[in-house]
Amino acid sequence: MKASFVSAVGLATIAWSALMHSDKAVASGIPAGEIRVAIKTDLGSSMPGHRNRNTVSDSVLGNITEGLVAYKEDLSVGASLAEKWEVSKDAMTYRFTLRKGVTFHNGQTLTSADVKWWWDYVMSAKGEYQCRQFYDGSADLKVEAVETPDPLTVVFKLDRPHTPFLAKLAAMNCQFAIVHRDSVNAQGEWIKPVGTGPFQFTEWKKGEFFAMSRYEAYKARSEPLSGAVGRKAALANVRWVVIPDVAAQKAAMMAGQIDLMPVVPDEAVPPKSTKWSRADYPGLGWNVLLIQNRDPLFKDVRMRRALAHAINYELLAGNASDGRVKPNPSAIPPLSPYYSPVHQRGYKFDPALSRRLLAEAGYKGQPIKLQINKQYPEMYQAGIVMQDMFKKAGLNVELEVLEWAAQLSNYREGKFQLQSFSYSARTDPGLNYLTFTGDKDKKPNLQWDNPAMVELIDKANRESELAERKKIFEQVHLKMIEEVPSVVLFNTPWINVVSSRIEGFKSWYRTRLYNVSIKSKS
Amino acid sequence: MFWYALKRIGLSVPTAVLVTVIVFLMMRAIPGDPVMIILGDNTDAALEAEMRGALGIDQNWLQQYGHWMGRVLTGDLGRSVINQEPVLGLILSRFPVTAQVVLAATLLALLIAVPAGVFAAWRQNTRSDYAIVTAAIVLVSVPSFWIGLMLIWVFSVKWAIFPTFGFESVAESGLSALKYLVLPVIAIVCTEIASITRMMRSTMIEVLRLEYITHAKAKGLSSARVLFRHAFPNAFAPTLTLIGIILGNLLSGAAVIETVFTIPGIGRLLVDAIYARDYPVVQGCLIFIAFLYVIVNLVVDLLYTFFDPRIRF
Repeated sequence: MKASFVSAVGLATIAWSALMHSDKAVASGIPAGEIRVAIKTDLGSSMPGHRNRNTVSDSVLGNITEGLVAYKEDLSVGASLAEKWEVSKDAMTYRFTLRKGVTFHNGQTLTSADVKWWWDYVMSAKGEYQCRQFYDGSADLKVEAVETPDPLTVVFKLDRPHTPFLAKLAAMNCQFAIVHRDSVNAQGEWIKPVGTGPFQFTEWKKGEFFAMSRYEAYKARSEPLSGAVGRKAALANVRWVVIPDVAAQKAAMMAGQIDLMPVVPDEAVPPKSTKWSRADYPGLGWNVLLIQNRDPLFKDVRMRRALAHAINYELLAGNASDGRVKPNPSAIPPLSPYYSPVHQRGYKFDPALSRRLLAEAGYKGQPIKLQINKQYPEMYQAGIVMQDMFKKAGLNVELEVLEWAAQLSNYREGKFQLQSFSYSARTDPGLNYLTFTGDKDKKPNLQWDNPAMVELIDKANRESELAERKKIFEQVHLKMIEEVPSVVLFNTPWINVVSSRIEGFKSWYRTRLYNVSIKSKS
Repeated sequence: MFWYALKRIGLSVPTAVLVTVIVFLMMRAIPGDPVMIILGDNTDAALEAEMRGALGIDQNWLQQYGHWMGRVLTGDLGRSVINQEPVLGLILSRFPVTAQVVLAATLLALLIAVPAGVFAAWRQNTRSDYAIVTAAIVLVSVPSFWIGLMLIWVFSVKWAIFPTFGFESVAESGLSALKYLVLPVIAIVCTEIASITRMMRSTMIEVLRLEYITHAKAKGLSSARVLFRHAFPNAFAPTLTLIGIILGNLLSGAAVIETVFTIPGIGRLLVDAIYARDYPVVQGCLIFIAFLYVIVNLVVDLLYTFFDPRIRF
């Protein structure tokens, strides 16, 4: 009996020691030399711009791959793999000169042939590229040819002047990011990203983590970093860990087991502490109140204006961000070089005016359904707050809480009266306006069926002068305010929580881990 | 017994087919499809058509079902729409994770709940009985996710003893992997011991009232012998059935626990697939779960013979 008891205690001790073994990882949270980033969902694909991409894969791959051009901090386009570019007088030919000495993660030197190869790949069916329609003429622009007169020169020939061309090449959701042909197998099937970025792909355990390590032979640009352009360096290995529950992410941050929580809702931010800090970014995605103007009630512009004047925009935007975000009535984000004081013109919060407009329109209290979902807190909270505002203005609005997929389905089919919705970020205003402007008979999800505006936006897309484009977009905005096809509310804030273990992290509209290091212990 | 088991497994095939039809129809009836989820607010018609064609969801339901069942009969459950991984591979990699957590929790729950139920029945209407019943009521009332979050708060955040997330297989990493199991196992145990304790207690009370127990006591047998040799085997059968049901439920995915503790198990796989409208994964998982229930219930039925020799197959 005694021997059995002693054996049991001994075994328990051994088990407990084993259990606590490698507790360094638990106690300190993270292996030395590795930065851990929590992500809510796994990457859709490890191929940049793949049709299964999502915002997580865009962020992650933005650290591993680079394109000819990329966005700067102010959302202008700058040179990345290109040393420079020239645009012909007719704005139909773009000539890129590549930087010398840039290598892929397999050691091969970047040449124009690689760019051409990748272009051909993504434009083929096998490439499964999400944004082929940007360039194949099915939407507007057609790239007629890509030529490589020498190893450092790539020439794109367009079928028309198209000012958003560079913006499209730089677009983070569809960046034309160059990878080596070793990224695909002999059958042309995607394997893994072999890019040129400061980080290289290490391992992807689907559903669990995506690991990237420093690429020692990375050739950095010389100018200071601005956005995704400029001097970059990988200062630590990185592991993106899939933690779907934001409460679990919060616990992990508080336990010191992750270093970064990118793009979380306000309620996921842990209480103030010296161990972490909050880093916000204004965000480029935009929250809107969608109005189905083919609904019998909302065919009347007075009803739409009544909605617009019933909203207290300051309160609504402040509620979404703990007071940190201001309302923006424009489809163009304030950070954009195209944003001007004209874009600040919106609707005055005036419930009395709303009631007058409702009376003029003959509204008799018919129930109105406002669709919201719980998956995206900013849409959900905005919807709840708006419902209260609408009720106070005399509108009988009821909330219809749907699963996100159901709301999205209704959005695409136009099966709604009102929706609290959010558009994902597009950095060129032309692309933003085209997400909701067009022929509603062909695409029921479009909000603004105004052929004159479609023409004006097309004109902007063919105009190369920034000042002229700005004037056109101002006209579009003022018309939008007048006709109220939908109501733009605010730009969705990007909230990041950053551990004090790391330094150098700067918020932007993508999560950048270059130039981020682990603080040395003093 | 072997033929009985084989017959039961054979009879489950029509059930599985019915399950596939119901799941197939339900998934397609709910709004949204995987292409829509992936593309979000991008409504490029050509891209949508291309993706629907690649996934085979541009065909009518009958054709889709026929193609899918044809592949299933050859052992191919298809590929995930979201990450293109083979569904069978996903299930086989995720299920052992769930199984480790659930089996450990069920075993621990049994070791606690069964003796507690027996003891409570033996000491019916005493303070010990009241304490056990009260504890069971409290535990059954508390949601498992709350228990999970509180465990994380105390043991991971405050005391930094256990990790807040992640999983390592004991088979691969040995005993050091246990640190990932402790908190989720405790969370599951807390919610399961209540129902097992109460079932064990109530069936024991019924059996202890029977005449043959009085006779056994009158013969001068010890309390332990009366309880465990004479009463327990007759009282355990309903509890065994309950354990089978609980085990089936848990093995098919303790999705809440897996989400709270970020465990890559089959429950989370299924829930994520439903939200993403990942048809092949949902369909594949549910066929697997249907068979799992059959196997678990079969094992429970076969175990009855240990407790009741009158039962023969």
